[in-house]
Amino acid sequence: MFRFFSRHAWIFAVIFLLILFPVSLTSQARLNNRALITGLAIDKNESGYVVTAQIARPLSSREASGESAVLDFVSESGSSVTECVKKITFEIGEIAGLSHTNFIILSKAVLEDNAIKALDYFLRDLQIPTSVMIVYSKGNAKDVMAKTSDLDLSVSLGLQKVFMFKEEALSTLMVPLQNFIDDAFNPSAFSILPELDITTEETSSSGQSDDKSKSVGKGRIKYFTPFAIFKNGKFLGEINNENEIRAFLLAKAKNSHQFNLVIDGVNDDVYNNASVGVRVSDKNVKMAVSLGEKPTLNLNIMLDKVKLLEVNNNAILSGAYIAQKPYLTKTLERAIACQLENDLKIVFNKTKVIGADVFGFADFAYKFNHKEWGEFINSIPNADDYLNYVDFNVKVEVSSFI
Amino acid sequence: MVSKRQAILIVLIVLIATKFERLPSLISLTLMQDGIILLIVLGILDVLFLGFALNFFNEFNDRGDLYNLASESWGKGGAKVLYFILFCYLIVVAVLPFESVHDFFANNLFNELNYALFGLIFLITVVFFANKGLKTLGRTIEIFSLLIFISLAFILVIGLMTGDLTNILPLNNSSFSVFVSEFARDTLWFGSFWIMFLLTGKVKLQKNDKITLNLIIPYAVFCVFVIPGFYLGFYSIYNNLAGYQTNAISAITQFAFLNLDLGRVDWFLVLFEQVSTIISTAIYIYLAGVCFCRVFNIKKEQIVEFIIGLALFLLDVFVFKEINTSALNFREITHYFCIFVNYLLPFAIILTFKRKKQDKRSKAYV
Repeated sequence: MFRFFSRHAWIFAVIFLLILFPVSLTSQARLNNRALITGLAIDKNESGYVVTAQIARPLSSREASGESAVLDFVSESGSSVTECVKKITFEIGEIAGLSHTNFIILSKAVLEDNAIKALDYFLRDLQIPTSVMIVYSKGNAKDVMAKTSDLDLSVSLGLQKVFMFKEEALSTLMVPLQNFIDDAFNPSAFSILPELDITTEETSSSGQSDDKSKSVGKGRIKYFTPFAIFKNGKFLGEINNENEIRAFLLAKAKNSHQFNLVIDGVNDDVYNNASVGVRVSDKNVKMAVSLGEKPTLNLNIMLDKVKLLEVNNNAILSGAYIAQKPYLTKTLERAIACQLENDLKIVFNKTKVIGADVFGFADFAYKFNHKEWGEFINSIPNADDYLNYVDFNVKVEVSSFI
Repeated sequence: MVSKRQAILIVLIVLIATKFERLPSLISLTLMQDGIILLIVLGILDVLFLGFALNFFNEFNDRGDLYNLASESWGKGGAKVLYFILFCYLIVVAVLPFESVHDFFANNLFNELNYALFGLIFLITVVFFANKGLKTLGRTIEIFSLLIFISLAFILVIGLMTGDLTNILPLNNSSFSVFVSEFARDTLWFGSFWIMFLLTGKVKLQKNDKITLNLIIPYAVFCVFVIPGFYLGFYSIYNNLAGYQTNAISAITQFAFLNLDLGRVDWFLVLFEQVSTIISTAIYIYLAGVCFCRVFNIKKEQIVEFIIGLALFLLDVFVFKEINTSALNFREITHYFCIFVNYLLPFAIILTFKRKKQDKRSKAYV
């Protein structure tokens, strides 16, 4: 046995080396000093940018009173985003764990300048995943970032997951950095960002030591927020209307699950100018493009497993037993289809005026009708104005009620 | 000597080792969607040449190794020239997995890594593997192969389910000259069939047993479906920005588990797949050591293998410092040599060795 160990002593030496040496080969203490940056906010100022980092500081069991971590915010300004991030790293005095970043807030001023330029650092730094979510804020991004401390800790640390959940319900879109920048290089050059709006409600809570009530802020993420639209990374404007946003998301959101729709003005013997709430379990969106004499974008949306949830009706209802089935009429189907078709047409026409190809006509034509697309682009005087020549047909159908 | 199963696994592991790291992003820089066509073409060529290699192997495996066969056909001088060429080729291709391990650990997995010291540990590991010889390498591959293939399968499925597959359209959009230029430069990553030439005489086969479809079929599946399929998944996710992702295999799973609170569990799959890269580095170092020792009649292969490993490490630390540009420059310098070795040298070997065998037979008959 002694011979075995003496002959193979060098193997044990190597294993010892591998176990004992930390991968960074610096002092052990440094490995523990890692700050988890879970979010970043970017503002514009005269000299460049102001970057605010949301840092999650874990609490020991002695310090924690229910919460396992506390949020800290550190801001630095610089001529570039790289400089700001570097300064933040120095200021926090620990290794900045940027790989945990799950959202970046851009202020509107950054959007109006050049959002892609501000995000270039995050695209090139391999530590930061390009799956990080991008949102914008109407005012100061730093102020909105500060409001995240009013949210539940799990919400403020996992804002991306919240947006993914909201996307399933068709109330917003989770736009990763990868998609936002990549879309700007597609033929349609259209990208979009949702706004992050956090409202703070004052709530009272009784202190434990005495009976005096304390006023604390409870943060809430606004359910419906506008979308900023871009072409070639340049900010064009916003989509504000809730119905238009809902219709747009219906066509664009890939990860939708069950979502609710409110349909107004349903009118027949059963419905008397009723406002109706329905839940849609499934949707199928088909796009087709024709590039003949009249270039047309055809959008077919099939809603499946639609469930009637609520009817605000002015009709007089007779009979003790009100069966749901009489409500599931062709009128309701038509009303759902009409409202959504109308909203989609409004979205298309409004954004067409500013040159935003919201439904990706150019992308679809480039992928599936490549030759005809080339001929079409060459036939018009200004290739950037291709949308002016495009018509839009939309058809919404309800496949089944449940 | 290795068994038939080990020989097959060695070739397959070497085949997949470097195809999923840097190569997809390099191809996407010039060919974009048409990169999938390039990979299919290169894959088909590789399968074709594997057929030639297997034909050679099955005919000559019981007669001795490639050096002895070359000595009989071309003389000792010719054999030494052949083995020196193969030594240079193996050093060139060994740079790829060595660099990819560096890129993965230093740039993707860890925030801060003193690679000069981490690289020493990696060097010790691969040299240790190489020193242990072909049999141990074969056994090690047998142990890890299932884990590697299953991890790769999961990664491929995750990638294909995450992206928008229509991003691979439109195809056939690149110019022919760009296609040919990219084809020439990417031959560096292909040519794994050469392992079969080098394993000639080193595989223990039963009487009348051959290696044919049991290697060709999995090899073809990887070359024609898995590798292009991986590119499809990668490009469908990253599209115009694919060139920024220097390590495709870790990038392809990035979007899959965003809604989980488990973090990046996909890293386990990526790490298991990376074992193939580490093992293939050791295989290349071992084979390069064998070639060098045969050329210069050196008995102690272990020392040569250590020197080769050290040379690769020093190249990695001092020459290929900038991963992003060094890959482009490296393939620019080496691609003509790789085209010669991959597509011309096998013909020279097969035709001349077979003719020599026919001449011997006819003399014996007379």
